[in-house]
Amino acid sequence: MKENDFDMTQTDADFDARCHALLAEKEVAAPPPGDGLFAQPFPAWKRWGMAGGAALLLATGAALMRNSGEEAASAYDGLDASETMELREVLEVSDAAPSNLPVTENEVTLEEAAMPTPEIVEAPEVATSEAAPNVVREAPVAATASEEPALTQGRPNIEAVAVEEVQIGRPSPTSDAASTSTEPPAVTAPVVVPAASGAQPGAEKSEEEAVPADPKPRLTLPLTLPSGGGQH
Amino acid sequence: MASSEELKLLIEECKAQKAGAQRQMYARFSGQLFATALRHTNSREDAEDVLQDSFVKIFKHIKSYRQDFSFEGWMRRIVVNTAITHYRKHLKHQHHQDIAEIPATPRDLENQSDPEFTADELELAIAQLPLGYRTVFCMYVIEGYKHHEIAEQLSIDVNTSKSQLSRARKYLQRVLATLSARAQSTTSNASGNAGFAS
Repeated sequence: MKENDFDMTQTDADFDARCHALLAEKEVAAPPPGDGLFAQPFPAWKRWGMAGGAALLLATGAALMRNSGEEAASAYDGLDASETMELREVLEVSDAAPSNLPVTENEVTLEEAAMPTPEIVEAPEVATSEAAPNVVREAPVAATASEEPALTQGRPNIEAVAVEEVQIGRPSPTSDAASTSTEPPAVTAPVVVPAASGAQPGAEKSEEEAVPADPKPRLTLPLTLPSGGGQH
Repeated sequence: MASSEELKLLIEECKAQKAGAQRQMYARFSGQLFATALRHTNSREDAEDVLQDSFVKIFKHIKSYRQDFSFEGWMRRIVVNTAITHYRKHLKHQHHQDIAEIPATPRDLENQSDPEFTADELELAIAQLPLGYRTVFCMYVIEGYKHHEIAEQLSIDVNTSKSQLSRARKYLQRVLATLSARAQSTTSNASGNAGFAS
């Protein structure tokens, strides 16, 4: 019995070995490969398209970043380069010198009428129509007090412009001529400075009279934007 | 057959998802793998589907192939597993289906322990087996699976795998013996007639 079992086991093993030898390496003609079985090479036009799309995205992102930076730097819309520079100078000065100049009620009234922000010195309607109101809002109120002296200094400063804006038609008595001639390029009101002094002398005069004279030149935030160009 | 170095290079290129290397791989091994698929399916159409799915898996998982294992054996196992996955329900039923009554061995063939048979005759005999018994026999004898691997793949018991293998083996031996006897009988009859005629 054991021998028979051994024989059968050996027979089975031999049979298995023979079957393996006959069929393990056997090949049968296979069908052709199906579609999509192999990796598809990236066509050239797709590569170029993707590269172009990536470049476009980068350019768009850079442009957006540039624009956002410019917008943050310049809060004034519609300003030209010179006006923007002058405005920035005014902003810097106003930031350095705390605005503690008194503001007359009249000025406040004008300011409030022109601009809702109480801090605004003034925002002449004429100027605001062209200038950015946002800029004016940030102008310190006390700018008007030092406008007259500032005007005589011939420096481009906000005070001069602010005074010009508020004190429409009220040029400084001492520097009236100087203001017109040596008046710094309207730091604040491009329209007002050259135009207000000449166009509306009466209004300026009345506003100047209302503002107490302040011998100390003080810089204020321009209510309006300079018309452009100016004396530095 | 490609040398081992050439095969390694081909495998590395397939890992890099190179279409040319994949085409070359298919051309080289599709015949062998299709034969394996035919043994584990009931029709040529099923075998073609299994072959296609198997190559998809091969290209997808070739990065996980380790050099210490036979690449042909690795691919063949993928084919078998794919065939089993496709027909798992049918295989379960087949496992419980008993092999039809094995025809009684002719007296003159009872002592013939080593019948001569060819590869075609063997394939013909294997095709007559029920799918369950056929799968167990092919996995063990031709693909080189162990009984515990067969049991795990087919969700059967190890003893079931052993018993089905034994029964399948006996069935094939007797079928092959009958085929061999018929072939010998035909040959002897032809020679006898020729002698009688002369």
